[in-house]
Amino acid sequence: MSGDLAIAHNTGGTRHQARYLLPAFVGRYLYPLSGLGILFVVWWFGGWLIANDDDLSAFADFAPGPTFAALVDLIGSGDLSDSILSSLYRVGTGLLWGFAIGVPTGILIGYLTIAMRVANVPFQFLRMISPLAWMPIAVLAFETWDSAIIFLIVMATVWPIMFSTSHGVKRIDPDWFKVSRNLGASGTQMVRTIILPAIMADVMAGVRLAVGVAWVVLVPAEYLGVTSGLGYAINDARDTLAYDTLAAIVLIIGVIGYMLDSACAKLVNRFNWHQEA
Amino acid sequence: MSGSISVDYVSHQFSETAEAVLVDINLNVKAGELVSLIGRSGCGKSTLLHIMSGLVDPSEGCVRIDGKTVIKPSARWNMMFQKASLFPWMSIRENVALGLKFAGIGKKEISSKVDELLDLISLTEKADVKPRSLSGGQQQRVALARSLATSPTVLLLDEPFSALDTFTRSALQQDVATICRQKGITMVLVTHDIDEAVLMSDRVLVMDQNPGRIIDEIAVDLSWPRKHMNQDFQRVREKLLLAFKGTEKTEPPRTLDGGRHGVESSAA
Ligand SMILES: Nc1ncnc2c1ncn2[C@@H]1O[C@H](COP(=O)(O)OP(=O)(O)OP(=O)(O)O)[C@@H](O)[C@H]1O
Ligand SMILES: [Mg+2]
Repeated sequence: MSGDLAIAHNTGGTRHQARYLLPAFVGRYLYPLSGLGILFVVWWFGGWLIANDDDLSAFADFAPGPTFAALVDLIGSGDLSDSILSSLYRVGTGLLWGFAIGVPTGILIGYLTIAMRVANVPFQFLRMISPLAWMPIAVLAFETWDSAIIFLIVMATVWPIMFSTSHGVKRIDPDWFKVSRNLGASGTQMVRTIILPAIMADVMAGVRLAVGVAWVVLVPAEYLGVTSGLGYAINDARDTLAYDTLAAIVLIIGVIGYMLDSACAKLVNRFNWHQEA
Repeated sequence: MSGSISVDYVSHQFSETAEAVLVDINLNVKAGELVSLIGRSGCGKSTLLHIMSGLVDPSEGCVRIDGKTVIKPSARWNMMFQKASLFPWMSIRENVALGLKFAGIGKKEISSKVDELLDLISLTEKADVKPRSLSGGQQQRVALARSLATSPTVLLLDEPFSALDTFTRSALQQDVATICRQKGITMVLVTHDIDEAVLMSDRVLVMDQNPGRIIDEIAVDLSWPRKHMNQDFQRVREKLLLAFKGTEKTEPPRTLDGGRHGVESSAA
């Protein structure tokens, strides 16, 4: 009798555990993986349609099979690492400038109502212009293609960083200024110890947006002039009709973009004091 | 002992066109004295305290602490507010250490001073958590420790207990008065609460409004530690209530027991 009870209890316990383990696993891996699976099936099906259409069969290399083969080749040969490095260099430099301009300006317009009023309309106006629209001006204004592209990245990244920063500054509790002045903070101490940490979460959220836009803008920007970078590599593959390579590069662009975004999300969390317990 | 305050002919208006908030305030606080400033909402208590701290420049007159004119805030005279306003990204330890860090004091010295203060406010075991996980009373104790860290000679308290529940409040009232007396800190406490004023101070100043001015002054000649409901306490409290009747209109001051004490509204 007591034995029966013990067994019943035992199995109950196991079932109990299983029920709690499953959702954790599902939430973490199953849903994202099935999303990826669906994407893959759509891709594969599209490739199959193209291959079976006489008009389009020249593009059959876009399908998953040839693409992954090309990907293995690309990674094996290391041909693409230079392209990736040049692209990352441009995005990184542009981002740095966007940060260097956006954060101080954002602090200013967040802190001074007058600055906000003066800057709001022109900045909102400039923000709505596609960074790529600056291309002709950039080409005229800068000597090298590299700096022209970096300029475009700056034009893409400066706005999200600036507006998030000013948003962060506006969220600062005015009492913090009183408290820290009371404790004898100098101007620079106030900036370093109070203002910067207080706005860091918002600044990083802006950086995350900026990285997204920059990565999207980069590829078309690299279609022009330069002879390096992922955008150039795509163009080159198209000109040589290497569609499998082209698709593999698109894949790599997506993966790197995803990794950049995840890294930024980690940074946002690292600095986020708004909801941490 | 240092920390004497003299407020000389201070008047204040927030802008040229605004009405005067304070008119001709004169008061002297001896070093180590505990003084309460009591008055109705909006009579200018906070404004006066901000002027004493150097956070606000008075339109006229000046404030001197130990004979020197106050021209800007300093960690030597520290203000505490109704909200604890701790910095949420810093640990409790870092919050307490802030004033010492600003003063450029070495890590070792800061560390031992902070340990001492955390012990004083009985929050040693919370040293490394973030403020969010503390109760309102605990947060206000951390704010107190933060104010005490720079060894100020003057503590300016702007209703620091009013957001707390009754039990926490009365514990903190005792603690703050005791600490100020032990360390010889001059205290100026702004409050709505008559019991709090009687409980914590040597002298109570009564302010009237429109414009803000000091109309009465009552010495609290009670021994320490003070007990709420004994006869002497009630006697001083009655005196204060009487002084309050001088400040006309609207709402009578709130007291610790939450009751309202009958001040006839002259408008009614
Ligand atoms: N920064 C400011 N600008 C303009 N007017 C102000 C400012 N601060 C306070 N006042 C006005 O000055 C008067 C006194 O305000 P103060 O905050 O000193 O009153 P208080 O006695 O502390 O009131 P409470 O008990 O409600 O805290 C009020 O009429 C208020 O509207
Ligand atoms: Mg006030």
